[in-house]
Amino acid sequence: MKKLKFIGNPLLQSREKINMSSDKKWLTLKTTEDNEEFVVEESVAIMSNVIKNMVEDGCASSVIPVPRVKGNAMGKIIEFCKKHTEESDEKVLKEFDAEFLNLGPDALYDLMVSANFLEIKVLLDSVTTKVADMIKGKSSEEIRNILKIENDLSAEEIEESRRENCWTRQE
Amino acid sequence: MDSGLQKTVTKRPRFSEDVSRCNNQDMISNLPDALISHILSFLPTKYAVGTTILSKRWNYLWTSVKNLDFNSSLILNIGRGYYASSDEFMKSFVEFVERVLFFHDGMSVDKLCISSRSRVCDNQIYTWVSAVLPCHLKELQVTSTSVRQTPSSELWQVDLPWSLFTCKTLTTLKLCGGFVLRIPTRVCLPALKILHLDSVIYVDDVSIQNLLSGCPVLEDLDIERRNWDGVQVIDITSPTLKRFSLQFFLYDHFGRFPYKISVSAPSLLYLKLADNMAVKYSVDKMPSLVEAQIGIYNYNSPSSLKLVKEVAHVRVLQLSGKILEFIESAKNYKFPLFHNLVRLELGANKEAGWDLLAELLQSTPNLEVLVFPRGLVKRISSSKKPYFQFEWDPPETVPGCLLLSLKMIIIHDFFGKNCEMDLVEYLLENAKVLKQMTIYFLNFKRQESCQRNLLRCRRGSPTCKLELILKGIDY
Repeated sequence: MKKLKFIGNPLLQSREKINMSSDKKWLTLKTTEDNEEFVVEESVAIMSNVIKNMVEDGCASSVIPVPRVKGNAMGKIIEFCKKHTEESDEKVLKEFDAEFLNLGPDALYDLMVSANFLEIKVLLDSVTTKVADMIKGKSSEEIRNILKIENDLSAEEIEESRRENCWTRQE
Repeated sequence: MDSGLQKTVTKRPRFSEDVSRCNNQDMISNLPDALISHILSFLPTKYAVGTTILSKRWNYLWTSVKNLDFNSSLILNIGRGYYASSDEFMKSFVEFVERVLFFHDGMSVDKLCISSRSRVCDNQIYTWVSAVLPCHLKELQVTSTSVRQTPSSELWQVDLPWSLFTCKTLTTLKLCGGFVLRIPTRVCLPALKILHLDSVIYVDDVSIQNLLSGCPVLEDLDIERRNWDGVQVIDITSPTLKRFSLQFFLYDHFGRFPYKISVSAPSLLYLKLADNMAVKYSVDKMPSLVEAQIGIYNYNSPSSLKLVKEVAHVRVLQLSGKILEFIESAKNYKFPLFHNLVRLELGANKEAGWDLLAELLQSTPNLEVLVFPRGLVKRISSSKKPYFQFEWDPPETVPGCLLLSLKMIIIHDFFGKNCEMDLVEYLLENAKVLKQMTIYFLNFKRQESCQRNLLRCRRGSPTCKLELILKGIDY
């Protein structure tokens, strides 16, 4: 069964009503991995360069297929884009971003990959800054814990690297 | 959250739970190299390079980082006692930068920042900038604070490669530091949009104009002069410039030479002129100007009054208290009509008081926001008597903007003196469409004593909100 998500006017119940309403243009984005559909305003959707190009080239018909991005992530991304199209106050946006990005590292990577794939620069930079802030100034051991990186270097290799780059000593 | 979204969501796990439940593995290593490199670009280079020891995969990921930020003041974070003298620090900083430049893959570097605190570093800037320029560099920032080590009579020069002035990819250039900057006669920077020069010393009068003539798409120019820098006539000509800011304050009298400034920038949207040195201002018409900040403090510049007329068509205007004093003392000065002015910020001045305020408000028929950022009696933190008194003489007719358009008034550094209260009461009574008046107090006692009187004031606008805020004294 198809699940239709309406991002926009919650009072509208069917697609017909949307098509008849105002002069705003609407697009349907369908994530091909899990077949979820999202109806969004064109002005929100074109925050993604990839979608913008498709619309400008005239390839965007009724439904735009979006591979590689799961429904979950798509919903989150649309929420972000919608807020950034509606709001122009920097302070409000900053607060929104801080709240929005309050996620674990794995969720952040997922967002990062999706934002990169869809070419949404604002979202990509926001998530990347967040991840960078998580590791800024931390010792290598702490970074490994936060990012869950397995240490496959031998003690000698690490020591040699430290000696050569003694400038980066943090511990 | 959008209720439309919630309606159709079933028992789906939340986004963040969904993802992390499946993985306690090293997900970040599954990211493509370019993305990890992108993350590292947001770190100061010292930390980015530090990731080399995280794991084998991370060994060389930092080498394609697109932002290089070499800040020698990060030295202080290194284990204490490791280096005996600051010269040793600097030498090892230099070695670090050289290693980074050696190992970097050189494919593309978007931004290079060098912050140097000693001559040892300054001498290397030439090499470092030369090495990175060919990597399609877009933004360059060089800051040198080493000049503090120089006796004031000596001029220190930081060499920059000539290739900097013919770089095709550079969009932003920021140079800061009291060093001598040599600019070649032929400059070609076809992509440069933003240029900031702070405390730089020029070789001659035409250096700046030489630089500007080689920047065909320049939009933002910010010049800050802190010391006498050898220029007597500043000539700014740029057909594309949208934003121009020039500041020059000299507080000691040694080496004070009055200078002239001439600006020809017909596309300008924003203008800021703040100095206490210029004798003559000559500004061509700027029909698109939207915002102007004029802070002129030199008595001997009658052309500063003409400047106010040149910016009369802006929407946002900031005038220093000194200008009000000049206007007060000039005989037969008539304010131009500020047709489009929506927001006005006025500095305070002892000599001028607020005698001009009524006349000024008569000339701003569409004013919506009125701000006094230095208060009504001007706070001078170091003086024993930090305020002056003035007489508020209400005008015969109420200015039109009070009756029709003024919506917001903000007053900082409020003392609560009788003269201030007189003026505030007049404004509250006569501003018929006022939505909000905000007054910042410096201490609680004053706020308390004024509060009652202010709340009792007759208000010309029944919907007006009065906000009294205590702002801490920041000495």
